[in-house]
Amino acid sequence: MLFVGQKLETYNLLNKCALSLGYQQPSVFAVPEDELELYASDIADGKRDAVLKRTQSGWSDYVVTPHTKNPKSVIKKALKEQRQWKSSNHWFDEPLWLCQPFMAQLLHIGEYRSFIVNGAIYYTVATTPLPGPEGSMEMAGGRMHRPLDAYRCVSLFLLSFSTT
Amino acid sequence: MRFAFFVVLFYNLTRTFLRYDPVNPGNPGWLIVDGNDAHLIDPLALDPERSYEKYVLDMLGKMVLAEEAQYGAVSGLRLFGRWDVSVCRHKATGKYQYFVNEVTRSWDTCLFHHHSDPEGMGDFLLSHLAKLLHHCVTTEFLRSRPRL
Repeated sequence: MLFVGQKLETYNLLNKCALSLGYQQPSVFAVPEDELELYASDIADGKRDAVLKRTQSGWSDYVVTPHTKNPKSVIKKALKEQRQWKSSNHWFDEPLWLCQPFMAQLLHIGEYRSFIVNGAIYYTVATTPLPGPEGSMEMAGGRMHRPLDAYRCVSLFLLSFSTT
Repeated sequence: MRFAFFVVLFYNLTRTFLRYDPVNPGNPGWLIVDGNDAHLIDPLALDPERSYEKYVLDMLGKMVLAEEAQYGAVSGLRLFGRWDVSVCRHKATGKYQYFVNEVTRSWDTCLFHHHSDPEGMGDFLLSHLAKLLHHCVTTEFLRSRPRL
């Protein structure tokens, strides 16, 4: 059974599902703790176009992107907190660090967060990251990105009715 | 004549001003359609195969099957989940496609609930979810064997 924050298992399942439907899904792999600082410095230097993120976290906490300032210190601070994980009697397993490719579209277009109950989409919130403190984002409801060629077809379709 | 003029004008407008593609300007891009215009511009009627809703619900169905096959228990995604989806480019075809960035199914889902949705679906969601959870508790749904 899946527990809260088990992102790697979820990503593996998502990868299988996307492949079975003919889509592609960004690859995600686990990074050992002793290689985290090396990965962070590679990302900061531009040698690795990737993002580091941690399981059992939310709201862009514990994420290292090419735009993160002082990524090494972020990793050091997170690992220091993480070493107290076992002693503080947490319910969940120790967190795991994951690496995935840097997706520029997540910054430029953002994400659509769909709330699904009982197999039906109730509503979708579109969020786009804002410059400023990490985690700040613009939210808008009821907006959806559509392929532009579809819109073009519809506009011509409507126009043919309006002019005849 | 007038029809042809408007066709050319619309084609140029959509090609010139509404294109969004930071990487390859020659590729047809994506457009934000406001929810208020959805009754006028509904690409779902023309191309349901490429719609956002179809992608999300297809992935949801597959994910439920995959989870239940792997863990042998009823997936909580049958009840509730927040799917975070974005757009990326397919490596082989070069075309844009959706991808799931994250699936949230715990208390983190409330992070965006304070955003007031213009369609007013939040109340319906909560009432449906309350009824669904009541049904699950009374029938011990999550302890039952997964079934199609």
